[in-house]
Amino acid sequence: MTIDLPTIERLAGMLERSGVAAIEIEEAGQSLKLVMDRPIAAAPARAASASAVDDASVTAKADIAGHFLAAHPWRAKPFVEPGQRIEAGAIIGLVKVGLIYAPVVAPAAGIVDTVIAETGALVGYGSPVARIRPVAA
Amino acid sequence: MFDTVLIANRGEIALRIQRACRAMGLKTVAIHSEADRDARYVALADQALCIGPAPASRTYLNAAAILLAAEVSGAQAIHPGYGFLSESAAFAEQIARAGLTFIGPPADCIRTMGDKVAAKRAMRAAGVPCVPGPDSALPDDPAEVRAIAREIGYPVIIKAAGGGGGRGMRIVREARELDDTLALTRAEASQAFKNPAVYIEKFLEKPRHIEIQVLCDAHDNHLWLGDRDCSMQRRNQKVVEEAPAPGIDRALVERVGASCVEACRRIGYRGAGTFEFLYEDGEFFFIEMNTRVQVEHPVTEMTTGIDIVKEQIRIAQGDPLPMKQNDIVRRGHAVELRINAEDPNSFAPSPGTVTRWDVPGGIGIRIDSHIAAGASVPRHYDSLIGKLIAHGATRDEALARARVALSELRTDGIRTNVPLHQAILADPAFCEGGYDIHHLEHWMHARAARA
Repeated sequence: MTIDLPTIERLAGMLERSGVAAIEIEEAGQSLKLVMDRPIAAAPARAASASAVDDASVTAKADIAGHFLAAHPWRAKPFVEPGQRIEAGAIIGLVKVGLIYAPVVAPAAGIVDTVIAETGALVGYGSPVARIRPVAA
Repeated sequence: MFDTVLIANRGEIALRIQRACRAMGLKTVAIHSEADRDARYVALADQALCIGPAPASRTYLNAAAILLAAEVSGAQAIHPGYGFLSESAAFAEQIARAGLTFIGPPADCIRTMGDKVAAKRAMRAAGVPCVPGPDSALPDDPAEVRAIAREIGYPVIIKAAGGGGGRGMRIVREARELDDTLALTRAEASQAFKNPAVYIEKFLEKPRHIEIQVLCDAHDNHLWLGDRDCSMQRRNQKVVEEAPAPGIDRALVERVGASCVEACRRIGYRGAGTFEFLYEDGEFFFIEMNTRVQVEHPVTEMTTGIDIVKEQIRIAQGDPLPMKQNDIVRRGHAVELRINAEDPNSFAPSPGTVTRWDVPGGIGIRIDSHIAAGASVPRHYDSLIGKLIAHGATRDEALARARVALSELRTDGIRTNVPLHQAILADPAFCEGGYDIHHLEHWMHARAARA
């Protein structure tokens, strides 16, 4: 068996549905290790807002023109959801340009306020994708 | 056959191309920088995509970003306008490799004409009159170069093969200056153009800049539309252009136009293009070919009635030109004034927000501009904010209409070169016609001395 993209996609779906954390496959001349990315447990929104530095939210922006995806194309669950605590550099969504998927990352650590862009929407360079309420590190 | 065109440019030419596309029933995609986000043509396009921050290197010169924008938008053709990537053979090739249509000439034509030595060789072979001097790069041995210069006769000019538009060239008036100037120009050429090849030509003291517009399709139809006089220049930048060139024997222009057509046939040219010449003492001398639409194309459109941008697009769609050489009739006279956002005296750029924009109109007047009240003129790009074009049955009528139109044009919020144009339109040498390429700078020096 050759480990190809459809195989990896099918395996990832199985892991996701069954709640299995990781899988390793060894074949002659090839090996595959899949580790599921478990989002950090969302902190209670109330506690988070108490520790917020101020009301000034920051905006995560697309840095390439393309179609926005709130979730990985293989997964139903979005990268982030409102109320979720994220670190600076966390992936908020993807911008699809042909075969390329470019990540949109959080400019600062904080609580996700809103994801502005909708999946499938055309975004450009500098288009706001999500608002984040910064939280002191 | 494409139905969606991505316009890889900005400003007035982006709007000019958009108008042509819309009139042809084609959809348009405006790519733009953050600095041009609020431009009127961006809002008027069927689709707009911001592809980067203000600097042109990140946007209008960024071939990768433009190709990705074409992919995202579904555009099947790209019009490069003028400047930016319009004369990049590599860009034309990348577009073709992506399976899209480049609205312009074949990449190899762009490459040949971009190398001034190769261009001159191709022109001489087609019988286009060239400036005296060899059509090959200069040898390394300075003694051989001295012999070539002596044969041509001083003054001579040394030019970088990769240069153009007034860059990478030096005049040598006497034999004893030759060695030093040669070394200097070579060094600059390898640094600025990554091509150390230089060539030598006879230097003309008081030439006019006359150019010939051509249009060629993919069905072996090659036409020349007319001539333009672009001698009103400051630092190699054209300020005023007119068609036809006053005071030049029409039979001579016809012969030169026919030789341009022959050159196009030989190199397999396709699309719109311009052959630039110096003209002195009744003779034309080829200097370079521009393989794109030019800023001053409207004066030819006004006198021939041919929509050059529309024809560029039709040619790219594979259609044959709808006219033959004998169908082209040049009527009356047209003049174009380039309106720049700049101080009329110091020529320093004057970016900012246009708070008022009252444009003239009336018979024979055409305004090509992307400006509206509230528009911003970013500091990142060239200062052209519009073109005022006046057409009349005679040159005098065109100039009279231009004067009235200029008096109606009002721009607040930024400074413009309108006062300079008013002075030019009152200048007796301009009104007479036939001024050379140094006239404007000499005239400005004289005016400054009087003040």
